[in-house]
Amino acid sequence: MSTAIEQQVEGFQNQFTAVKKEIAKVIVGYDDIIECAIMALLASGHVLLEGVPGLGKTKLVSTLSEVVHLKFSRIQFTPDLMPADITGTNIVREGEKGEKVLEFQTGPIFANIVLADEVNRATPKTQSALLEAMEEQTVSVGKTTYKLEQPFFVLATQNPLEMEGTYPLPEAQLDRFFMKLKVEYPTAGNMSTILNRTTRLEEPHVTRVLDGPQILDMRKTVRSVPIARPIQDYAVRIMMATHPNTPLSNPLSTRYARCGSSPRGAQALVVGGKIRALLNNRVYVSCDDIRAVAYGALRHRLLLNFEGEAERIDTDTIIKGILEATPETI
Amino acid sequence: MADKELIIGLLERVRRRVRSERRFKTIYAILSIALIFPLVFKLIDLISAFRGITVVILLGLWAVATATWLIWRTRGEETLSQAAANVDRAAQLQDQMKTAYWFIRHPSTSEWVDVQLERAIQKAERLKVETLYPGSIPKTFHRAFALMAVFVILNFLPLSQNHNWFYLQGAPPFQLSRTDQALVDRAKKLLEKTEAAEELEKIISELQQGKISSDAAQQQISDLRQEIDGGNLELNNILDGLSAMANQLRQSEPLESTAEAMSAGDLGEAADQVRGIAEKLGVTPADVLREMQKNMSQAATNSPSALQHLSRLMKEAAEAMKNDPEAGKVALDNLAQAMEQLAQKMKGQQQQSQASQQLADLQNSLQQEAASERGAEDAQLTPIPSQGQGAGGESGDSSPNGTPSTGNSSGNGQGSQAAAANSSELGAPEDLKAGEMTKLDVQLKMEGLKGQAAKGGPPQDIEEASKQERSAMDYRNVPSQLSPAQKDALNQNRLPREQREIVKYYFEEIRPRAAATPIK
Repeated sequence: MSTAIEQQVEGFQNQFTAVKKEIAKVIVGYDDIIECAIMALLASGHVLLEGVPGLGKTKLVSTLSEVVHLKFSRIQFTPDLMPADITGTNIVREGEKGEKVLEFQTGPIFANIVLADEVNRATPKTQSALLEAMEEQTVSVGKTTYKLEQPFFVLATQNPLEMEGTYPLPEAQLDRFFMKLKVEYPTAGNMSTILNRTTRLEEPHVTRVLDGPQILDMRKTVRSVPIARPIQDYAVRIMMATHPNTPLSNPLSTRYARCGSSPRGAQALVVGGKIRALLNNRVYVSCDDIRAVAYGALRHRLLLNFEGEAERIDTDTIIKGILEATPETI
Repeated sequence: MADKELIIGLLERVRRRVRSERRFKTIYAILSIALIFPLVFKLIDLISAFRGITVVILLGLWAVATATWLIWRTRGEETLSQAAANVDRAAQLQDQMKTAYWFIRHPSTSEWVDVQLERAIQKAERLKVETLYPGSIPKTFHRAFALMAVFVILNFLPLSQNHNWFYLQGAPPFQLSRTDQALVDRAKKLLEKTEAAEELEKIISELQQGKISSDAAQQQISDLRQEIDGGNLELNNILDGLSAMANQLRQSEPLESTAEAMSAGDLGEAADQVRGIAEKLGVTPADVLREMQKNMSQAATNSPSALQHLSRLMKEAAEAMKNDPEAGKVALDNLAQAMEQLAQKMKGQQQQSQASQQLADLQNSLQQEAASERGAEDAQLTPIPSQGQGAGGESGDSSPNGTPSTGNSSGNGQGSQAAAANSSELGAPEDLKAGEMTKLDVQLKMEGLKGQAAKGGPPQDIEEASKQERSAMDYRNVPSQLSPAQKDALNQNRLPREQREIVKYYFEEIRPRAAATPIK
């Protein structure tokens, strides 16, 4: 019995590693980001990638879609993009008998992997079109609700909020992302490799190593990993510490945060922890796992107050303070 | 289930180990802080000694506080969950034991949990508690040990002012100053093997133990001095008698040197002279013998009661000399022996007199210390009765012809009176203005001087100070009764502002009235 589980864990690790390895053929560096993106896929979550233009965010997503054998669509968010352009719309079509019928024309959201490129260039109204799809995995048009095919995975990229012509994502939208990953500039060594790969005649090719059913199996494996109550409590304490003015608040949160993480944050901590445990050949979650995913899972759920904004406090700083101050056991 | 017990057993062992380690660390940490306090107290004690009761209270409070702190900090036990977390940290198991213990306590049907427990059991089998928690001496142990060592060393330092707190020693309630202690030591040495020495020892002991107050001690010392000085009265009588006998014996030429020695109070020398006379008795002319016999008889007759034994022997010697030279020789030897015994007795009494002087100084010192405690002003205004009235009054008045030591007492007493009057003047100028002329109410006795005829004869000038009035002690050795401030005031060339009016008034008072006419 235990051998079956160990084989399951081993298979999970192999598949994960294979995907990561294939992506790494195209994407140079960003190992953590690749790993977190795959983790979000396996955690039934979505990823928000933030970084200045030209760092390979879109390339990362498109490569991921190539590695997994899934239906991929890309939506380029622009200020004039309408919600119907994402979800789809009813069109009037002539029937077989010549009658006029309304037919739903699906939008690009009806795919397994959706790349919402430069999501913060669209208006909040359009951004909100993703809300239902991301959380309920359904799309409602008129009186009809359409279920999205599983696995459904949204990868959104956004430019830093300070840039011209951007609309900050609403809190509800942000909260639906499993992780927010910050794409930084590549190192000089990585830059050289990037140039080698992208400025020559032949370009790297990736092979598909994972399909939809496999992803769904991996998702089940993730959910099977047990977590002891003390570890779960630790995740809860971390999540609660992000809230200002509560008994478990961290002083940094109290000072700089307007609003803390929702329960989705704690869910992200636990599920992310489970995936990390599997990757480390463990069948239980440890506090280290929780800490490892804390930044990605919580940084976009912490909303700064005026003082935090004025002092340009990074939410990662608050999370770091929380992780340092929160005891593993009480 | 037995496998799960393996994990529980491991956690139990870890818990015991962690608990003992924590307790040791806590104990040493607390001691390394708590020991600072008695150490600081001890350092203060070396500078300004605490009394025994203070030491006991301080150490008691410290012990109670430290014990309470220790109990408070070491109470409570680690749970197995804490032990699991501890072993996870020590062996870097990433919460494996914590999770396993949780699932042991909260069983689950999940196969994943079984796998987790199985792995945890395998790990627990390999773990060695002794390796995970090697015995080590905490850093605080060294600090606590060093503090304790310093504390012990400080207590056993061979210093005169040091008191060993391990024996609950403390400063006596009353601490004699070095000067006072020296006075006591000298007095005890002078009163060696006498009841007075034991009495003095008892008074000082009770004073230091706080059984009697400083005032009571002064009173008891005063009583002791009166007791000692009681013998001095007899000594004075003896000296008077010896002087009278010497005056009589001086009439006879062979007895002149004996009389001289007796007059000087040197009975040892007088005894030698008597033995010399006895040796020459066989060759002494009869008329000289008769004269000697006559003067000795008269001297014996006029002797005071204190010299009855000596005078009886002298009378017997005179009688024996008249009848038989051999018997006279024996009688003179007996007289010489009696003189030596008396000399011994006088020496003892002189020592007692000196001891009395030491006690007077001690009494005065104690009084000054008490006065300084009550207030500097009181100390200045209070007259010092021990010298002016005690020593001077007792020995000076009663024995104007006393021994040098007795005379010294008298002189000291007068000096004290002067000092007291001085301080009274300095302290209260209005009293000085209202004062009247005073004089010494002393009637000096006539005294016989060497070379002066007993009766008749031409008068002669003697360029020599009276023997009785000459002090045996150098005036520089007489202890001053003035306070340092008063000494400073006397040594200043400039007059202090507050004393100028007194001086002006003094010179106005002594200015001749005729010269008081204003100059035009």
